[in-house]
Amino acid sequence: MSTKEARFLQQIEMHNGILYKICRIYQDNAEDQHDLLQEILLQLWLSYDSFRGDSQFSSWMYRVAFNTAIVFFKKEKRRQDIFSIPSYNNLPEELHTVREQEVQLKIFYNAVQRLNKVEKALIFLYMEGQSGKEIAAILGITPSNVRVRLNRTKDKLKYIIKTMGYEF
Amino acid sequence: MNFDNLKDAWVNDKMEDLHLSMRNVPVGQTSSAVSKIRKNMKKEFILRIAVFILLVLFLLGSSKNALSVFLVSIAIFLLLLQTVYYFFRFYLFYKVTGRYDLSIKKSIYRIIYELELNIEIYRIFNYCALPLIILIIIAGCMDLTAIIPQKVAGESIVKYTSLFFIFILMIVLQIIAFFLLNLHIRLQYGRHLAELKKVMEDLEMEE
Repeated sequence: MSTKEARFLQQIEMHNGILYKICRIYQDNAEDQHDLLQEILLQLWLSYDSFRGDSQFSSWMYRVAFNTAIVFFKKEKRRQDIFSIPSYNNLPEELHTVREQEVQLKIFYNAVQRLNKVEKALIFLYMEGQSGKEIAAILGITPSNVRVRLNRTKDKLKYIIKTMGYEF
Repeated sequence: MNFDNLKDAWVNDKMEDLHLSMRNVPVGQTSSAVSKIRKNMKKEFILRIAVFILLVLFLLGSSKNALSVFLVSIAIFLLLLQTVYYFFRFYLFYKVTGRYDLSIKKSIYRIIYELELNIEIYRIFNYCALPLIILIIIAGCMDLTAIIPQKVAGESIVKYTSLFFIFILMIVLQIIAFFLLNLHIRLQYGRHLAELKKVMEDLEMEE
């Protein structure tokens, strides 16, 4: 393995959570998630020479990963995997809060599947703690536009979760 | 719904239930829209070369006279040159297209622009190739001496009925080709382009 390959894989390993989450929010099926991950990794590798270190590796990775996820088209219509929502009624009291958050996150992942591709990118970057300015730079829109769209997307998500029969 | 609570869970989520491997630098084909189109183009190029070979074999077997063979050979050669040139151009075009390190808006805009431009070039290429193909088929199936000008008592005489028939045939075939080509483009690129345009429209929407 060359030094370049080793460096690349090391950086990917450090940020693999980002890639897993992008795959999960853009594809609802395990096979499609796997295909998308391979596609993102390949595009990251092919574009690796364009990363000059002017920005953070994660910022560069967001761009390549989102662009790949947006132009990625499924091979054929596959069955949608609905992530099972675990029950936490039988757990000890002290674990309820942790378990509750886990359950809410599963519901959140299911609800995100109903957003469009741009809304998915917006909510992902928001959840990753990116600032409005950073989100605007990655998406190529103005920060004020980000603010408005983000509020709309959050409302939409709340509505979707409500229609799914949950409220938290 | 409290997004701040969710954010904590999001940060702590290690995605342990996802078993996705990333231990090696990936190799092989990608399945992006651009790559799929590139793959289709490659298949189409191979198919066209196969059709050329069949066409040449057919014409050699059914050649009416030396004049037909001569003219058809020139037409086939021109068609072959055209095909190789355009497909090489498409290959170069799609090789450099799809830069993914730009902002989402810029990147999608570029991909849409390049796809649309290439669709137009592809359309023009097919419109230019079609008359040559028709001429090759006509020359292969008919006796050319029955159509082209004949020297009778020192004057050129064109057989207008045959010529008129060829013109009508060409117009009809061009119209059929127009619809078939549009259908083919819509099937091959339509879905991808429509989806990308939808994303672009969404990004361009002002608050």
